[in-house]
Amino acid sequence: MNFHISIPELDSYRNCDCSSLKRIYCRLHLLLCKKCEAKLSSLKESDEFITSIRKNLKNDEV
Amino acid sequence: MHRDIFPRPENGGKSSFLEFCKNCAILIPVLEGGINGIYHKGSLLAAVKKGDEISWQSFYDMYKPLILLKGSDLRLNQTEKEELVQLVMLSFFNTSQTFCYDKSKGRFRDYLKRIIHNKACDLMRKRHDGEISVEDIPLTVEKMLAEGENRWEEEWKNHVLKQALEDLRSAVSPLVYQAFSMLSLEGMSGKEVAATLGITANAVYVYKHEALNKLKTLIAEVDG
Ligand SMILES: [Zn+2]
Repeated sequence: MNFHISIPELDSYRNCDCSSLKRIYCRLHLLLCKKCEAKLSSLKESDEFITSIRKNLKNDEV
Repeated sequence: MHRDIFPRPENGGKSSFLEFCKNCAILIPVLEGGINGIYHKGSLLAAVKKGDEISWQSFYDMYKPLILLKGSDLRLNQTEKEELVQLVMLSFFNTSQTFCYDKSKGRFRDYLKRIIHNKACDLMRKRHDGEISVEDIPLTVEKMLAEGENRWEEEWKNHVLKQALEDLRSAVSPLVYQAFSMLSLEGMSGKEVAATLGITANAVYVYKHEALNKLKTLIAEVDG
């Protein structure tokens, strides 16, 4: 596959922050592309990282 | 937007609180990290790593909690913990109000830990109450500190993260930082951030990942 979906685009897709047309395109692409599917899964690591930052900042406020 | 700040030429290239912006060549104040008349861009830990001049007060504010944590691991009483802080401070600032870290000493976190260990041994020798023989003190101190190692690692990780977040503010544009902060730290939705900042939702996520990637690099840099 020549064209892939970027990490920021995948992030906005999974958070329902993109247009409905883009959503359909992402869904179809993800059905066919293992590479982008893997990128989508890797976003979980970013989520964990962000959660640790937020926890850290929250602890500071207490 | 002021980025890539130049030091003032008349200051001999030394860091100052007024520096030239590379983009518009006007003088702007650089106040981050500036305490007690010593100004450095970015976080204190980044300054330590670069070997910049560090003031007594900023060092004290930053590292006192970490030293006290080690004092708790050693089961020191409050007076002893305060003394441990003073002894560590004195070993960094024995002849001056400022210090510059010598990078040949290795990683700062290891160096700091070594100083705390040595000063804790001095403290326990001084207090010597017969509970532990003088010869056993270094080993006992090491064992007690090892027990609290996970807590120290956790605290150090938090310390590094805080410092890297501070550095991130000047490492990316204000818009990128704001988008990241609103979306990831404040928990606003992409649409809300886009509306607040007057940008597209797609740009919000581009900025978020730009900031995240930079933050990861900064963490590796300040803790490397
Ligand atoms: Zn793809």
